[in-house]
Amino acid sequence: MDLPDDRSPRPAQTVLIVDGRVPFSEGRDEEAVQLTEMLESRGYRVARLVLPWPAPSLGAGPLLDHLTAFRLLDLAACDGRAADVLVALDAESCILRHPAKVLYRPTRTEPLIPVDDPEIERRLALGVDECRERVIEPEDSAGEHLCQILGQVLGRIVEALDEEPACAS
Amino acid sequence: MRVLIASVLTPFVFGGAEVLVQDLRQALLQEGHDVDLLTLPWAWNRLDLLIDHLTATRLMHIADQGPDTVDRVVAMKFPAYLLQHPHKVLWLMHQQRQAYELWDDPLGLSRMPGGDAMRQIIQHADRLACGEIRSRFTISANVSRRLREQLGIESIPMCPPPRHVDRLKPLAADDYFFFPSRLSPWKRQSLVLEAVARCREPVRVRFAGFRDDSPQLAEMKARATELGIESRVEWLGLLGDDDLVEVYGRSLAVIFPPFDEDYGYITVEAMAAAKAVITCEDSGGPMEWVDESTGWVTEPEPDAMAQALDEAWQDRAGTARRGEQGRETFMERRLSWPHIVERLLA
Repeated sequence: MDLPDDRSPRPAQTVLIVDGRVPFSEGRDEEAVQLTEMLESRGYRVARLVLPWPAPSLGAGPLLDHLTAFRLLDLAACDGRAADVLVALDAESCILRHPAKVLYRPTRTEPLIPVDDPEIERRLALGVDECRERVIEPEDSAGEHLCQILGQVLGRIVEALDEEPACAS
Repeated sequence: MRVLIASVLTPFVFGGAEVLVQDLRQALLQEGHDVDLLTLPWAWNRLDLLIDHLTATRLMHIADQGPDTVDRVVAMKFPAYLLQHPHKVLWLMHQQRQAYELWDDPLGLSRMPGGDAMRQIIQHADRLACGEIRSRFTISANVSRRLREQLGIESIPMCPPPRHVDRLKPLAADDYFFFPSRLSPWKRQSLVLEAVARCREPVRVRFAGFRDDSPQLAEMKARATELGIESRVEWLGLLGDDDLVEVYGRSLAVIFPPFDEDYGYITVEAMAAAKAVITCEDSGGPMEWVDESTGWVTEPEPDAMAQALDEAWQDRAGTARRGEQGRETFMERRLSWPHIVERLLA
């Protein structure tokens, strides 16, 4: 069931927005800021996590190291308050461990890494498959429309988590 | 220079560590550097999680050559300094304290399954990472002391200036002491409640620096009611910058009695505002700034704290004099962001 736009989320619902970025590159800051503002205006508490992605100049080895590193990070158990939902802005961040992941790609962007390696492709697909929902729209979609969709998706996930005796992993 | 600040993210928590990272970023920008910020998640309260997160941090590479070069990584918190980059600088806020001086604390690793192994792993990681960093700084003499005593590692303390330093000043004093800090057993708000209940003078305290939904707030309020002092304490919550400066300025003195603080911004801000500081013998940094000329240093016991509160309440002129001396002590320290940036990037 979709969450009506004017329905308040359950109290203190928390969302962690995550993306990977090569230091000093632009990354997805603009999308993250837009999404944060939208969610906060609807009563969510939002935190942002930017994880380092290896620069292309480092070569292929560090790519697999970082994919492994991402998989080792458990965002449901880390210091601070655990987020109800993790919103990944890229496929790479879907590899992170969390029981309620959403892939949110407001535009069809290139992956951080060229997927021409079967092992990398397998790992990325694994992470994306684990997401409870995927919100991916063409580039010309209006941001606000996508934000509404995401709000509905978050509501569904929280409802589902409330009904589950324990978090799925 | 392209400088990457590496720290640790605690989602939905904002405190002194986050302020310090923001202020360093701003200082680097003002000195003309390019700055990016990297925050890593960190989980340490289970052996498998701890190993996973340490390994993940160590697997991360930051470029030091080519078009994506990062010239310096300034690492500020454990385990961020495990990142791989040849030009790391340490400006340490604190170590993973549960593996060191808080080992036997109720939240320390000694109380956890596998705690001894976790402590060994953390200490090994500290030695490894600190050993590969040539320029080691900390945010206070207390943090440097711990690093030296616990690991035999030398470092140089560099204290950051508080955020509102240029705006803090004494105003006409009202009848209250001020205690700004997040609510935590380590900050010892409960000690102050017990002390207020023992005071002979009609001491009043304003607490601030916490969210209204802080889980400890109800507990604190209930204890104040049990002690019969609910009308003598106020819970102001989070204050905006203007209000914070105002409440500091109008206080009689500032209370800050935490257990073994790394670097007590509160003490420094109080001194910048020319306010006497009431603290404890074991309150940590910057304890070396506080003595009987700038405030009161008591045992961490309600009776001793109550005696200091009574004295400060009764002798207003003397309390003001200690505050003025505190301001002089603060000015002598010459805390400066340009100096810190220069040392970090030398």
